[in-house]
Amino acid sequence: MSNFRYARQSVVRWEKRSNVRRRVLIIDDEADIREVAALSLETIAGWEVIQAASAVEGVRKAAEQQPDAILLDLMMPDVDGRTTLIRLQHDPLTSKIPVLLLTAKVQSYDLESLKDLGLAGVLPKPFDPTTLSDQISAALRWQK
Amino acid sequence: MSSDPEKTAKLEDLLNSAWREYRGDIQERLDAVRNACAMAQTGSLTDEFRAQANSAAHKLAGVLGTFGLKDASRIALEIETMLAPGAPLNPQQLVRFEEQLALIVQGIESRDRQALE
Repeated sequence: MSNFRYARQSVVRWEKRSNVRRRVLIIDDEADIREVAALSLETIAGWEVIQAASAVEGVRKAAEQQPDAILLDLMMPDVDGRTTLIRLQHDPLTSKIPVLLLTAKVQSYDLESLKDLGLAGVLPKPFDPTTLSDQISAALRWQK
Repeated sequence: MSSDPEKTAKLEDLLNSAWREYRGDIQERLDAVRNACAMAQTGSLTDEFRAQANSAAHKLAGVLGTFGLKDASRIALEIETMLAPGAPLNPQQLVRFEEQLALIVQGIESRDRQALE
């Protein structure tokens, strides 16, 4: 294969990767936070956003819709983020989906135990809507 | 920040609409915290109302920060700490509580103006 042809194919592969329309599931009981995150990711990054208002709904939508990543609120009234993470990790349909925790409060020991459970990372809450997609991409090492 | 000014401007418009849409929810959380402050001043703040106000302050901190009100968000977190179960609430702290609430209200009113522009 000529160098040019090889280089062109590399560019095409890179373009395909960079144009991937990511799908992100947000699990948070606060509608306003979900809405701002969705507006941010759809407008700035052009990603598709799925919303879930509870852990139960989130686990079900994760299995059904197979998002590329899950943003999970730590403090929810029905089932908290830690328990939700365990449920996601124990289900073969969702165990491979990276989960990022959205929280204002994570003690270092909590963080370590959550990482042992398979947590991919933590995003601070409140988040900046103009940079949320950059933070997610950086945490998951996604190509932009 | 996004390097695309057009996308950032579009997002700002959408965030202003979202602020107007969810303004009632924000007011409910603010009222819960305000009521807890008033009840604490009269010595009638129950554990149940305190827990509700603590949760409301936590949610307020999250949503205000997400809408760009960083100072108000930080103050709401301070109030959340004040309202934590068992934390002391002496008269000096109650004065500070009220002052901090006034700052949060100022922040919300400035965001209201921004959302209407």
